[in-house]
Amino acid sequence: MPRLQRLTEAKSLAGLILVMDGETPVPDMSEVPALLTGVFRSLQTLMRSPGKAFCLLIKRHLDASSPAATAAGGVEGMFLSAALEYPSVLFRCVSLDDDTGLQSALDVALDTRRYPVQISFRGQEPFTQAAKVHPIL
Amino acid sequence: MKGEPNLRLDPGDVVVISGGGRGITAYLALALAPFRPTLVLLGRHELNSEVDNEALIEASGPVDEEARRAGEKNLA
Repeated sequence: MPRLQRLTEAKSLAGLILVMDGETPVPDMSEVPALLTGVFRSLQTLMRSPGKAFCLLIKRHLDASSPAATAAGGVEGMFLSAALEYPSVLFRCVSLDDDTGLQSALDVALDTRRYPVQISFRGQEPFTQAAKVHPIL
Repeated sequence: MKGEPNLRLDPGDVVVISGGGRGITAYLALALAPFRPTLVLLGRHELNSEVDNEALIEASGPVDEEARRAGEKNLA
């Protein structure tokens, strides 16, 4: 029986990659809080590591009303907050569509010269979001 | 930008990948292989006990140095 080791025991914890794929959905909305708690604890452990380098969320085939999409939204919120607190760590939330090549998406997502945390791909082309102040009336 | 990310992976660095061991997750593991990290794969299914995973890893052969350098260049 292999010896179990805790993440906190890892000498050089460098990265965390979360794949939220519609093919392996979160079965029930009631599981989302526990999942997010687990991700948050993992994130805390990584941020305590001297070798921390990157956090990557990859989303694909997520139905917007699904529990998995809700969980992914929670992870994105964590990453956006953490990116402000830990500027030396690369945080990326990458949304892929059916025509996106994973290698080219990774090349963009892990490019440290690009600063947006959230990147959405349409085919091979990356997009991000911008906010504008605009009076309602 | 203050504290610009410095993405550098050294051999033995631990990377946790959540999402099982198939599909995108498996591809990500292969993409990181040139850096020789220690990978921790998280999933909901138990490993197939009939598959000799260590033999599969050995069969994939030694990491190609040129691929490793190319990967470092991409991550730099």
